[in-house]
Amino acid sequence: MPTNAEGPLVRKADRVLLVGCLLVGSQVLGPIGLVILIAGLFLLRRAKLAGEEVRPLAVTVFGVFSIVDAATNFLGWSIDTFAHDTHLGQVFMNGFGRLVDGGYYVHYNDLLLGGTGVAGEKSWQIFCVFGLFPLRIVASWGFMKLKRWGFDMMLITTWIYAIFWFGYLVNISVDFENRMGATVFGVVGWWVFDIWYITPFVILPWMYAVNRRKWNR
Amino acid sequence: MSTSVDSATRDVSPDGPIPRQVDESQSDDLRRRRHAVNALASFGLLFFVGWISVNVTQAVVQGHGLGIGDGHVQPGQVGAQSGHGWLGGTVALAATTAVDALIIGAWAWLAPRLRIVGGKEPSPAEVAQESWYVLPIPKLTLALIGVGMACAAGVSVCGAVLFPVILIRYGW
Repeated sequence: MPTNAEGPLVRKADRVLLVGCLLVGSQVLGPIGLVILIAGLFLLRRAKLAGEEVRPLAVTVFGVFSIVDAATNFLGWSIDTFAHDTHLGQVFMNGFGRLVDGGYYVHYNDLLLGGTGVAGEKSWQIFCVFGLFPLRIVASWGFMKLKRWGFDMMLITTWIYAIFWFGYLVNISVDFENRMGATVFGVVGWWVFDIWYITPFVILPWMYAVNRRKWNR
Repeated sequence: MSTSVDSATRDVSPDGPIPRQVDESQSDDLRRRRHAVNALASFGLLFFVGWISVNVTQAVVQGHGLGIGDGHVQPGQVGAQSGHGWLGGTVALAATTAVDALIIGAWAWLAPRLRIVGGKEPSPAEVAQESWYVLPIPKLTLALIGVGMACAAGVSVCGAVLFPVILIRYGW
């Protein structure tokens, strides 16, 4: 008789996947995290071969992808929000600014809340550090564990994130001269660095094709 | 909308069992949903192609060439990077980590308590018989899985090379 519980091998694989996600989210340890993520996928495969009930690959990939995306953004913007006065924070942010996004060195630390000198960027940051990204990390984990609330929160944060992309691109494009236009790598550099964060556009169509009742834990 | 699928009509994809054939003419909902899913997938692609084109046009119009590595850093805008010493920096970063954990913890506490319960839920045995998909989109799913994996790798590689490049180029 089918049960609703996950097996011990799946639980172990999920722990490995979570560690891999957090390491990738730390940015500096990204490649190590990537290897651990691949190991987690192999552990899931082993669980399946051992007869445990394993969720579809798409659920795992989209869950992992969303955690990695949200964790990376969350960490970077947390440093700009809370630790913009540290030497590490300034070296990292001003360096990133000169290479990819001028908003992170032009008038840096000049505004009331410190960090980026672009008011619009700061408001997106606060919105994402306190709301969108931590909720998305939690939602993605619940989604991978087939929790109903995980599916619902994933759908909510996916829509928010898709609309966020639109607002963010308007914000950066109207200030083009000080953002993409004031960097070493220019427009192409910004897009090469940021195009990987397109989770909502990848996941959204798929979420409307799946059977929501499968998320019943 | 019905979500049950005859097990005899199932096929296997990398995602597990999928319905081989769903008679969408039987359901306006499914047909309309397929249109919406296709629209969402197409819009995602058009959105980024469109916006990248806008930004490249901006670069050309504002004298940055095609925007490929021919940007220029504004002089005199990078202030002194002093910080508060190793101890101050360590305390600030530790506090940042703690605040981050607190924020995630707060959402992790709240989200599971907001489970939406609506009427009678099917038993696990019933759900186990159902397909994972109400709308079979195996080709699109495979494509999206590929994009998802590539993006996770892209995030990991870009994130990892960024700080070393900054240190090499601008120093500590």
